[in-house]
Amino acid sequence: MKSFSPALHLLVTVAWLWAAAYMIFFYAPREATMGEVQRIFYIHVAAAWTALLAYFLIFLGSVAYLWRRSAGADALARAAGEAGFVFCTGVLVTGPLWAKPVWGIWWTWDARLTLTFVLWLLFAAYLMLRSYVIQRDRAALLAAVVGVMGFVDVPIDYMAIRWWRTQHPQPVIAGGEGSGLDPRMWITLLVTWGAFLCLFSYLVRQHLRLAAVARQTSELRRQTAGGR
Amino acid sequence: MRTARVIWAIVMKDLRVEWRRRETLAGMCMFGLLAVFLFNFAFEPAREETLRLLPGLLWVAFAFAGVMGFNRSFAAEGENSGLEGMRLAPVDPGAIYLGKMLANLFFLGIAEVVVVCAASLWYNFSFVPALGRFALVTFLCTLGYVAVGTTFGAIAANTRMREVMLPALQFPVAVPVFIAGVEASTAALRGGSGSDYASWVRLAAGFSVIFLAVSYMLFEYVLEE
Amino acid sequence: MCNAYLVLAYTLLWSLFALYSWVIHRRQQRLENELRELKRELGGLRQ
Repeated sequence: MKSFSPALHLLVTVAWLWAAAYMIFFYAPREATMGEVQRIFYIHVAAAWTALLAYFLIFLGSVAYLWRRSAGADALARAAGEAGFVFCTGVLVTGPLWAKPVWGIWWTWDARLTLTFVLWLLFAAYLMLRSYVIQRDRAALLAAVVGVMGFVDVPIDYMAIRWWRTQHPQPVIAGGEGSGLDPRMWITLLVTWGAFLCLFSYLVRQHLRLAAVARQTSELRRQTAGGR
Repeated sequence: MRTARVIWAIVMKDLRVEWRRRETLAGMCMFGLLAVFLFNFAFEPAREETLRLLPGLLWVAFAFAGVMGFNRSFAAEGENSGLEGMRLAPVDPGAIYLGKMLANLFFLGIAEVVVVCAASLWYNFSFVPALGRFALVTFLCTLGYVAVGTTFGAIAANTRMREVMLPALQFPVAVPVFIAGVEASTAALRGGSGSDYASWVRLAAGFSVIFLAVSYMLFEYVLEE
Repeated sequence: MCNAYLVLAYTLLWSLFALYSWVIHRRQQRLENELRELKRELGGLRQ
């Protein structure tokens, strides 16, 4: 991992993003009914999948922290939390911009959107908790508990919201599950997701580096305070 | 069994403290009543619509009354270093959780009864025909809600802005029991086939069991110094 | 074909990423400055 320097990582990320952009605009076919606006679909879905992965990483980091109390696990959870929140916000921003021109409405409380918004709330609450805890050294522990509980909640939320929506159907945006996708679209989507994962891992790495520096700093702060 | 005695001790302590001051319970009931009262200006349901709106209205009132209760439950401990005492005592943290949870359940239950009676009166709506099923689903959903709320209340007690922090944590996580409460209540009050009702009840029961277990296991970390 | 919504969606998303990158960058600079300060202080104390 040492050989994969941050600068190289950034370069690969940018290159991959450009490749994805090219594929989105020139390789992927123009969608029949929706037109050009449909190209939002790629970044929208890729961001959503990345946000879900981020939430899973919060869970892994939280469990690892509860088990081992390693600062690295806590830093990972926090990094995934921040980056995941950014990606999730991206999903909620690109979604309505795609929905309005195509389906005529900005938003609908269908199962998928409702769940996405709940996920966003969970990210936000997780980050708020980390900022608002009064005793800083307890923040990691409390956040880890929330990280675990939140993740356990997601599948139950998914079930409950879907049942709720089958009882009171609303207009569904973006087609149902398994609506057909041209193979070229699939490839473009996967490439875009790869690019986003690259960006996500880069942001997480930057955050982890920052956390390590912060640990050094607080250690030194303690030493100077002791020395005075 | 020592654990059971600890749980009982905590429940009795919370009840006794509340009996003396009666602040929390009064506050929760008042909050719930005010919510229902305000709804009267928000919607004026005609007879047929009442059934559609009432369960949702009730659960919003329950949700906010509950949050108020969870906040007070641990804020009061902080004022007298009650949590300190509990931490230092050689008791299973899970037992502390269950004790607190049961006390919260009791208080929220009373507040819910008050709110339901008021709503029944103000909207001229009788719950009696479906009382059994309504009570069951409300109990299960409240159990799940309190299971999560007790843990998050304890966590939020460590934060600034806990009046915001607690709902921010609680509401997204409690979405399943909220939906189940509203949907199953509607199904019960409407009469008719029981399959919808049964599904939601099962969801609420599953949610409660899962989060009671998870909270029981994780509570030691919440209490940890 | 330049659809306004399309442009807006991409612009906003990249702005979000850029904003977050900048936030991290600023945090990093602030921390590195503080680290340098502390090291200097510590070096001074040791003398």
